Amino acid sequence: MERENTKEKKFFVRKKVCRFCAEATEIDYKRVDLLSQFINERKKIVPRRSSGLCAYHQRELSSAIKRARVMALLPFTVLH
Amino acid sequence: MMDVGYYETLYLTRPDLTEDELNKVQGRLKEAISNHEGEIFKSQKWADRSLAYRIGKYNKGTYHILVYKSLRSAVSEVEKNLRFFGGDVLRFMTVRIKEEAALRERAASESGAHEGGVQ
Repeated sequence: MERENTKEKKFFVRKKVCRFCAEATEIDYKRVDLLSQFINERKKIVPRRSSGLCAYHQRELSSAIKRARVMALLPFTVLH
Repeated sequence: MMDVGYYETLYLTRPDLTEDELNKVQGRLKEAISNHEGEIFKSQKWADRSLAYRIGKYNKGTYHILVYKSLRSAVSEVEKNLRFFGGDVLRFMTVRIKEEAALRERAASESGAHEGGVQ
């Protein structure tokens, strides 16, 4: 019994809540400071498994980041 | 029903653009929009920023924002004009925005609240 309990604890995962659903903020490609929280140090878009966003907001976010890149608000790579 | 929409165009100009040259660009855009039964809600400078990457020989630029309501055909004319000023306008992007967002912009610019723009 005891063994099983420890096993359960080990696999306990906190339920993720999408930040944009919770705060009801709109994603806009001009909000650079917001978008830059979702790119990693290689300037890649952070995947859903680590951003914790819902599918809809991840989609909106990724297109916003891509728009911002075109407008030179965000870099495409670190090699520029 | 005619095809009316709310649009927002953000365009990036080179940092050393004089006021005269900017007025020329903006005059052309204004004309393009009024040719297509449009109405400008907001036309102002958004920000001076250093660019995320070098464009041509520029590392800095000035962003200007234009919010308007017009026929869909106005967008291609606005973009054609921006392309015409290719040496001065480095980048541009037009997106369709929600009606509430557009009306909010109009209310904000009418009340004369000139905040530097959200970064």
